[in-house]
Amino acid sequence: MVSTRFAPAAAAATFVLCGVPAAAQEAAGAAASEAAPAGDAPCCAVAALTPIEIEIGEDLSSKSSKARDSFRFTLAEPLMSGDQLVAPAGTPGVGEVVHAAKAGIGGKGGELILAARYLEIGDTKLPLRSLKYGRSQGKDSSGTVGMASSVAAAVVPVASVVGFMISGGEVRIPQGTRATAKVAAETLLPPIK
Amino acid sequence: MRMTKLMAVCALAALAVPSYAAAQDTKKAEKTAAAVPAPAPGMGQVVFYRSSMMGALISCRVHENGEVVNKLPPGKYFIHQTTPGAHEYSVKSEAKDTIRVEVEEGETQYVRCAIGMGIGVGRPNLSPQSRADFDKRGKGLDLLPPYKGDKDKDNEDSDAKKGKSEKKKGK
Repeated sequence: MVSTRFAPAAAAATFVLCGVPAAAQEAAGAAASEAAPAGDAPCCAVAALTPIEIEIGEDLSSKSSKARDSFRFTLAEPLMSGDQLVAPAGTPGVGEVVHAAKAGIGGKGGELILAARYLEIGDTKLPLRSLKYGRSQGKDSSGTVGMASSVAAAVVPVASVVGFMISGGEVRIPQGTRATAKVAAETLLPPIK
Repeated sequence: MRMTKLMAVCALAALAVPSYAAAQDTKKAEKTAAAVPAPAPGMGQVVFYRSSMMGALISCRVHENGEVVNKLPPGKYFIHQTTPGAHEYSVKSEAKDTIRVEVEEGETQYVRCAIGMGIGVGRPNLSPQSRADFDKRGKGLDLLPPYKGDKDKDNEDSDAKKGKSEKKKGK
């Protein structure tokens, strides 16, 4: 009697938590009532745009990276779906270098744009987007170089050439750098026991 | 008589204080760049801006796949709405600079065009930036309307020529 009274509420709570179709919920409820052993069947939806924190797994630099290179990272904080753990800290992920340009002459700063692609949670790939990791451009000295060269050129013409040869700073992202990303699309994941 | 003058000076000073404060408030309001509206549903956008007057005579015309996206004279910015995914934009003078940007749905990326030193003429450079940089350098920039194509040929130096002729007229 008691279980009958609470069944609709429990089903509704499960729907809010997981956000999967009602039919699937009914099926899951039926399975649970039969006390079937909890397997690795997907139970928990991770909503789109859920923020996650990651840790870059290797040294990256605008000097050595190339566009379309991939890089490794790990999940820095456990990912939960409600109270259910769906990905522990340390879960591996793959990212991609979108754009990389070395610092150049004339004070041009190095450039590095990274993207987080997915987390590998068992056989499931959790798609990611919106990677934020701080500065994407190295120290840009072009303004200083330009001004100094203009002044110097008026006095000693060779000095302007020297200014032209000054390079900007590179972007360096050391291993272990923390960054944030977001889940790109709602994904059903199995629970972690 | 002296007392009257002194009182007049004090009164003027008292009037000047609020106007000075108002001017400071206006300056504070101008400390951030213009708000950028969110992109249309299902789209992302890139804000291209050019704050520095360095190399003012050199055009910073942004291209994608050989098509002009918009021209970018100093002191201007434009908002380019586009589909999510990777996009390559380029600018060219004596050297070509290309940037690959990951446009994400509902989000805004920022790209600054600056003219660096070159051997003959300046070298335009597109660099990835943050909203913070746009706030810092983008105050007072004017928004460009969407590019509708030039009546004349797609001349890379047309802006520069225009600038020169305006200068001559000024003289």
